[in-house]
Amino acid sequence: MVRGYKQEHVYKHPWDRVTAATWRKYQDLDNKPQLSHVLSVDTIARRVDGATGVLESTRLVSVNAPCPWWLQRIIGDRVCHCIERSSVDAAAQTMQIVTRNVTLKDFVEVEEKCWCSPHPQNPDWTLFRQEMNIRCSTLSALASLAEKIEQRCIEKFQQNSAKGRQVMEQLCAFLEKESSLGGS
Amino acid sequence: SRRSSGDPCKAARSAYDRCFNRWYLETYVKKMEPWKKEDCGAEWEEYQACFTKRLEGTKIEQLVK
Repeated sequence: MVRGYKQEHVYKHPWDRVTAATWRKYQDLDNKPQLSHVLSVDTIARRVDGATGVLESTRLVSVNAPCPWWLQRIIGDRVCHCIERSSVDAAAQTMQIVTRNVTLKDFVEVEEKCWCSPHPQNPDWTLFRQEMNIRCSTLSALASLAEKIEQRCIEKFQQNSAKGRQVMEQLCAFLEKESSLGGS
Repeated sequence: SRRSSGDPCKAARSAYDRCFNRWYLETYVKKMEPWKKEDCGAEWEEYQACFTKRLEGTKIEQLVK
């Protein structure tokens, strides 16, 4: 069973600044109380393709997963680890991010995809699209558990997306001020 | 804070992130030559040395491989 959820947001900031904010969103987490559910984010691989100039990165994202005690028993602890893979194409001005859970992946696959590019109607703005797809294994004994997790994931995704957007808007405003002061 | 207490790689990660942020905005997105080369090699080495050591023997090490 697969369920999907989509949403879009327009940042009234240029693409360069929005993608820069995307990197900074998960840095310096101690000072971002809105993102307290994110425990740690570490870059585990990064390269720039010498021919195309595409920047590819892989990050380990560890999230606090509030869950019922019995699920905690299955997972072992309350941390959910995810792998985030991204590519940024500076020439084409596109960024794509795909994040998948590693924890419990044989049981449920939660995939979040994001696309970030200049807004088609206004090149000084940026269009940010997100999609979440959840696929559960068909082990019948655990099917209703899977549904509960699915529902919880979607709720969390909606809540966290709103918090993430708030942090992003703050970062874009900060970077805008910095650039107008001739700081960078 | 709860998250970073006991994270020995925090300083190395911050140093790398700062270098990356600067490179990204000043060189990469502006396509200033040589933009196809990330120039944070030293910070990356130090960060990864710490991080790899930190993962050794943990559950995550297997998950990440």
